Amino acid sequence: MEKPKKNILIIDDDKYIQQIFTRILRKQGYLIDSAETGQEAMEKLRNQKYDLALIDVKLPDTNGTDLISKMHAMHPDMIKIAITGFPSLEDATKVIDRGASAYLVKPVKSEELIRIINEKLNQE
Amino acid sequence: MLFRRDVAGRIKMEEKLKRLNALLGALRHVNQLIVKEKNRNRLLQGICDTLVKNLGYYNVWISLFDKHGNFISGFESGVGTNFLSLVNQLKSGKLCDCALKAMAQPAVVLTEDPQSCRCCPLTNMYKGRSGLSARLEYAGSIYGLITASTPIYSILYEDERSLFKELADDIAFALYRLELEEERDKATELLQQSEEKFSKVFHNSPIAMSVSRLPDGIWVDVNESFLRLTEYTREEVIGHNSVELNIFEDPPEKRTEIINLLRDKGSISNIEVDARTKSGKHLKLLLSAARVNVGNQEYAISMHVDDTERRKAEEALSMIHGELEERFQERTKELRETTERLQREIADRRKAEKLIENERKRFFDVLEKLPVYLVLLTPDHRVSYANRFFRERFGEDHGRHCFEYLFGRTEPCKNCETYKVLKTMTPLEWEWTGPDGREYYIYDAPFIDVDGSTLILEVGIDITERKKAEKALLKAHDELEMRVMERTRELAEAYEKLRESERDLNRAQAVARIGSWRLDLQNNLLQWSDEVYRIFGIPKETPLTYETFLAAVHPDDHEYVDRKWKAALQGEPYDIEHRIIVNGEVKWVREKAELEFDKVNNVLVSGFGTVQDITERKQAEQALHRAKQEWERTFDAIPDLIAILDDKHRIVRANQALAKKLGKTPEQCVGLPCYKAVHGTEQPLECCPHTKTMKNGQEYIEEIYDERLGGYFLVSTTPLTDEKGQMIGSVHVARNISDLKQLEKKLEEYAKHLEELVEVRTKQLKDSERLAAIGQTAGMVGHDIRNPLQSIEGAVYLAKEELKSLPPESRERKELEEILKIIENQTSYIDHIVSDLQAFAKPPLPRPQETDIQQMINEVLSILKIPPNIQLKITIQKDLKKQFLDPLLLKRILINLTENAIQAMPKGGELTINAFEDEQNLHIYVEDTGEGIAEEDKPKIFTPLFTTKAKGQGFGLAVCKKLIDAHNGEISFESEQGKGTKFKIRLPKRGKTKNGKTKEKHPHNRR
Repeated sequence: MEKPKKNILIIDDDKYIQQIFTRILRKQGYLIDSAETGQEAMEKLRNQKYDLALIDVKLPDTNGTDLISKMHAMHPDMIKIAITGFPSLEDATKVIDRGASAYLVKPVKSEELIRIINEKLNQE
Repeated sequence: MLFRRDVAGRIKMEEKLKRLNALLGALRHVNQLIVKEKNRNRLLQGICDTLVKNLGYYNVWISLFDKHGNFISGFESGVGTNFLSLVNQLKSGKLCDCALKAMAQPAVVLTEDPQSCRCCPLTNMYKGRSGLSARLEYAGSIYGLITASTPIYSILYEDERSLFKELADDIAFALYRLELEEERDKATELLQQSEEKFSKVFHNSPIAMSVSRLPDGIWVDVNESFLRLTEYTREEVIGHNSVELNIFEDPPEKRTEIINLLRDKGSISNIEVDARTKSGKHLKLLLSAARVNVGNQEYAISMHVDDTERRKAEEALSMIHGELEERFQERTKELRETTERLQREIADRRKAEKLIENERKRFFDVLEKLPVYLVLLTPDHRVSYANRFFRERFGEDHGRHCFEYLFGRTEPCKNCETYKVLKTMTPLEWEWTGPDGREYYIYDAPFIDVDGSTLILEVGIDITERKKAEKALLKAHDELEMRVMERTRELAEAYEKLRESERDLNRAQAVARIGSWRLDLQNNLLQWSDEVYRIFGIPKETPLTYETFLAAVHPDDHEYVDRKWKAALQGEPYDIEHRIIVNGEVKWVREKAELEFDKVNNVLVSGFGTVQDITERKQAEQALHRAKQEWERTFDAIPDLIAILDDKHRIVRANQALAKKLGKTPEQCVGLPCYKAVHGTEQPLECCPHTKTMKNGQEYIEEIYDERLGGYFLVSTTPLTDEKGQMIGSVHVARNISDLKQLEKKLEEYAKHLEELVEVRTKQLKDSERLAAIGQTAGMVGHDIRNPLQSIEGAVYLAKEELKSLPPESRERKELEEILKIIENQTSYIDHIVSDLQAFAKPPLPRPQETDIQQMINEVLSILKIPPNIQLKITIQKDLKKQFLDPLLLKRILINLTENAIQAMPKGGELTINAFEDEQNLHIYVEDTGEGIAEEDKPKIFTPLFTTKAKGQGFGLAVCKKLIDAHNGEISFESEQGKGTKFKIRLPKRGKTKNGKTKEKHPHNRR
């Protein structure tokens, strides 16, 4: 009688961040998958549906905003949250235009992160 | 021989007397003989005999010689047979000495010792004897020689000799008389015989002959030829003269002249006279005449040779020859008729003896005196009669054959023309060269003598002179022909040379491009040489007039050319240059002419001129002229002061600029010393480059300052050399560089200033570079730091969650929570630093909005914790409108400034914030009463990484400045150490951003 757990895909090339986020979000009861590159992410997205994606805008092989566009094209329902180390209002507007729901600046407080994810996922 | 004077003398006397007597007696006998004996031979023989018989001489001989010295005959007595040998010797022409001597002179020749005479064959007869010889000479004729031998002594007698001489003379006289008589007899005989012949001859003569009385010219007798010639009858002529009959057309003076000449000279020959026949026909006659005296009366016997025909014959000889032949044939026929008639008449004439005798004489004289020869020849080649002319010319015939005595031949001449007549019995005319070398015109005709025998009548006219003239004429004619040929050849050569020189001239003209023309008004000719045609481009055979020439002249030059030509006609020299148009092309020609005028009425007679194509020269001249003008214009247009100086510093030429500068005209400048005119000095300047150029021949450039000229000048002198390379002066150019100098100075200043600026800018640039580098780094670093920060933050959260499993009172929990808190703070701090860095690195893009300043300041103050020991003083302009700015950026700026202010007053103080606006800008002041900024720090305040604080990285003010710059605003400060600092911000209104565009795009209006 458990509710199906929500899927979250974490896309970040920093292993440690992957680990930390995975731990944090698992604790919240989500299923966590991760990808290191845009390409990996897109592959995973092809094979599986996720409820939310946490996307580092600065990836080695792809432009974050482009990735978000692609993802949105593939999974428009999926909630996409962009996260970046370099804050820019311009980028923020861009990603939101492309389909992102939120734009976070590292280092984001963990509480803040949990809150936003819960909010977005529970909104549905 | 010795004789004794007295006795011997007397004996001699007696003997002498005896002898003389004997001689005298002999002489008497001789004289008697002379008187008696008419026969020569008998006479001479008789004389010899007498002389010897009377014992006058021992022997005597007489030898006769003819005119030529040839021995004729000899008579002797007492010589005997020996005489033969003498005769032989004499016959052979050899005369003995004695004889020779005797013949040579009139005196008697004595031969004392004949025995010794070697040449005489009779020497042996002279034993005891001597010889006397004397010539027989009378009246100039030497007949011969008489020689006698005498006793030896007798020759000494004077009388003997003279008697002998007398004897010789007597004998000579006798011979003379005998001769004369013989002659006379002969003549009489001849005369008798020939009176008819003479008459016949006279009357038969084909030549018109007449006998007229002198001086009245009354004709006494004329022959038929005369009558025929003149066409008169005998009755009409005889008793009249030429004047009455008007036969001779010559003026009376000529007649008289002829008559006088005849009377003076005795004969005239071949005088040309004009005659007229009875019918009026004109004749040309050759008159020859001889004067004859018969008794007291003078007559003229004239021969009129009709020269008319002969003259005509000289032009058409052959034609006339036939005529003449005819006529002569006629005449001959007539002659024959006449002869027959005359024969009858002669019979009548015989009656008038006295007249006949006169006539005879006359005839004789006539014939004798004829200036032509007349001879009658017998068929056997003997001379029947020859007139004096003939005899004188050819000698006495002495009964010899004509061929004998004329030519010395022994037989008739072959091809004798004369004797052809006998064969043909027709007259013959021909020309003959006589033995005397003269040329004769011969007329031969058969002549029937009185006795019926046929003789040949021959008349010969001496035409030597005429012949000579003819020959000379022929020769001259031949010479002339030759000369003509020569001349023709010379002429051809000369002509060829002329043609050659003409061709050369033509070629020369073509090369020199000079043509020539000739105007001949008398013959109305205008001639051009080939070159003129070429120059004018007119085909060679075009007829020429003055108009042809004028048509080619350039219309603009017509008036000039015409005027000059008219002046030339007045005698002015003609040497002009003008244009002509040839096939549409303009050419230049130079024309010169020499005109010849009639001296009397000053009218142009002829002219000779040249035309030279000077187009090239003219074009070159014009080009040169243009170049000269261009050069001059350039020279004068150049604003630099240019002077051409000679080697003595004198101005040869100055351009307008220089002249103007000196306040003169260019002409006035010539000759002035340059230093005086230009610098006003008495000597050239020390630094004068012209002096140096003159010395070294090189170009020099000097900077000269001359107050008089008005400033700084750059002077250059360039050497000028003539064609030989000699330096004759220099080109002196002075350029006013006062302005340049000023500019130079300014430039120096600017350069210095620029250096300073460059330093500043370089520093700024370095700073910017640094900043940019920093920014870039900052950007990168920021990002790289943020990731681990994130991890740390997350890890701390997780740790905190884990701690939640521990009891809240647990010591471990509390401690760990504190520790974790520290970690959180520090990561936050790191984040703050990184944010500052990033904010600085990022070019901020202001997004202006309507911003309430009051509100903003309130927010800022609420964010920051204001320590209680700081007093706040906020002054905001009343009714300060909302400003159109980026609120976030402004907030940031204000936060920074306020933080700084607070940090500057650790012990408390006053914080004042002012905000007001003016028309253009918003002004915000943030002031504190803190420690102030040190002087040495003031320049670095806005530099990133500069901080005096122990804490903080020093980005605050740098960021502020950057943000304010992005607004196109300005941030400045005033600070005094110990007193406080005041930061002043000015932001322009209406939000003109850094890139100058008014940003009105709202970020959410992307689509």
